[in-house]
Amino acid sequence: MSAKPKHIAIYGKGGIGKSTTTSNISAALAESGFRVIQIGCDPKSDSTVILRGGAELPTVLDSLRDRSRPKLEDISTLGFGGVLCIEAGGPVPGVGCAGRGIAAAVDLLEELDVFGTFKPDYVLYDVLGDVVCGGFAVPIRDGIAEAAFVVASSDFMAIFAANNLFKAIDKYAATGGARLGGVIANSLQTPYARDLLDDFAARTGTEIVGYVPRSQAVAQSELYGQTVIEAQPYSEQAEIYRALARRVVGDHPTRLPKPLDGPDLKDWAKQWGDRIFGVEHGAKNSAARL
Amino acid sequence: MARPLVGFHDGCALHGALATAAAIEGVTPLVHSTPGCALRGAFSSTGAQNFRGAPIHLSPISSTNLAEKHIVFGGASRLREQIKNTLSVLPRGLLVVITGCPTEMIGDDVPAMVREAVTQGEAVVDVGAAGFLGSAHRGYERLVSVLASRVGELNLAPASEAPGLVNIFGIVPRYDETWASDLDEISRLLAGVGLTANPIFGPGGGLSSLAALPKAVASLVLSPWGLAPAQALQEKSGVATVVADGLPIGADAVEKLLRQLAAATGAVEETAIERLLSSERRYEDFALDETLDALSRLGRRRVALVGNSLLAGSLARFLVSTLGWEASALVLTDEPDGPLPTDLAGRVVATADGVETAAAIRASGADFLIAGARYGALAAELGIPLAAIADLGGRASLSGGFVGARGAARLLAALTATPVAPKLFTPQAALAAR
Repeated sequence: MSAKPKHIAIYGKGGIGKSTTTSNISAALAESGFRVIQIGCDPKSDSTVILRGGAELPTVLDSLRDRSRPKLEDISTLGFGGVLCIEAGGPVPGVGCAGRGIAAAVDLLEELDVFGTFKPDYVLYDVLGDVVCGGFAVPIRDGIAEAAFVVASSDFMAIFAANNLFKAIDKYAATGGARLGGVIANSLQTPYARDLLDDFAARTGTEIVGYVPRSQAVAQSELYGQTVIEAQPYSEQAEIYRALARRVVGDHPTRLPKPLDGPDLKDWAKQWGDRIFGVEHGAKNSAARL
Repeated sequence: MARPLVGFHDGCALHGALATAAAIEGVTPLVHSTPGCALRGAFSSTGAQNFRGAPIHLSPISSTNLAEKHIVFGGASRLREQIKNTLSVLPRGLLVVITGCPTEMIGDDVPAMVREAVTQGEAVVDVGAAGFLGSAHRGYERLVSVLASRVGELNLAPASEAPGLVNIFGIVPRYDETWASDLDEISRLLAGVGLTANPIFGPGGGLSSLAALPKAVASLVLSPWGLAPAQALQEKSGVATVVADGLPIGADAVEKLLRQLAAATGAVEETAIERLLSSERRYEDFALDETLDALSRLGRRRVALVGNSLLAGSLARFLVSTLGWEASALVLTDEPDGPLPTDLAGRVVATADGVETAAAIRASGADFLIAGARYGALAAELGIPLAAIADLGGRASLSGGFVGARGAARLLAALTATPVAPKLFTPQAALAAR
């Protein structure tokens, strides 16, 4: 389609559903005829597993370990709808430096001219989300992704990770880094989850770009090693992902978030704690009165 | 090294540990870091004036020469390989693994690799000396502390008995440029009163010197960098620690030092001290007589001193008490820990930064500079004489020491060798004045 692909980074705390969300967005885009590359930037190397039906895929860093200069086909495979799946990979837990691994993998992809060869419309980076060190911020630095999205649930630690990503975005924005596309609210289950995330977005000057409820369809599809788009294309959940995909790649204004500082974030969390438990406590009391 | 430094006076901790290990005969240093660390270590030990290439005495250095894949996946197995290869081509002695910044940052389990070699009967020890931990002097402190506290585990051949053995701590090979000649002269002085110096480094040192560390009657600490090793040894083997006021320059300082050692060891006879001191005093008096004419032409000077803590404080004391000069600034370029010399309070700066040093010299109003040769341009600009005590290249280690009366004599020669423009009548000046 376009001469210049659009690069988008998706961050979020571990276990929050980044890979599931990113893979479903990739699948939805591929289904609409776009050429998509999804790059997993996590030492676990399982970002693209539901796009490729569990097929083996050597990681970019595996090739670095072997010292040979790999070809694109050695480190990529075509998944559902022709999505080009790449896993950066990394060291085994407790050894080496995963952050440098991400940087090295991104460098190697550039050397291999992956984007010039495959000519994608969209490149999605699925990044380990706590931005623990400089390596994990590589995809949002100058010249890589234009926009970053963060997947968050109503758990405090997920919000804490999102707030940290906002800090990293603010830091790199001055030197041409990515800007924030918005927050993807995932695994919504409790009645207050939506209000809580809306409030966090308002407080940090950001926007919720999609609400993804917790769904059986996701769990079932994953058991078959597939995205919802592939396994249950006519489900309600598939429609939610399609809408999310349109929003994520659409031309919407990006922004600079206003992350909360430590004490403010704690106060904000406490207020919500009081609100949520106040509601439950009040409900119990009124039940007892009856 | 908490801030960027300009015109740096020292190497980093890794460089200090490397130079220290290389100065012990029988010790093979193995640098576990990227290739530049070992190479740059070789450069920095030659001083700013001799920046020409890796000096022959540090080549070859065994190094794991890590590449990017070792940083990403960990470099421990590369270290295992390098330990094995090094031991297979170099004579058995003691292998000291020195870890640099990248491996300390990624958290390689170096002790596990070293333990593995030790269980196979090899003598290997590891020292964490990431450059970011501090100066080259810090690297000496870390390395010698490890050797002092673990000397019993190193499978060294047992040392022969040496009654009255005194370990010398705090002189950093190469980074204290006159190290070898200072160790040599201290050894000569101690022998004069029936003690035996254990210099560890240079021709008088070696693996047997290391093995003998716990057998000493005392550890003599000559700079703040020797304190931690001496205390480690005291804790482990009960060797008493004697802290001196820097290098003993001149006969008075020698007397103070010998009396300290006599009190701590109870192994020195008073008559031996008197005999040695009398010869030291005669030598110093002779040197003062020989340079008297030149000294009187120099007059009383306000001097700015730039040097390592081993040397600078005691130089200042000698100049003040023996020559009656005034010390207007004292810059300690190795940035020692702990309190600065109190007898020069208010005039002491501890900085390894060349720009801060130059500022301190300018602000001191000194009319004489004692510093490294690199300050020649500044001295010329200020129009004051410079006596160079550092940046002298390898020759300083052989013939440049400042210990004892002989050291004082060399200092006097350096002070009076510096040409001072005499204020003589010249026809040109007279014309200009008119």
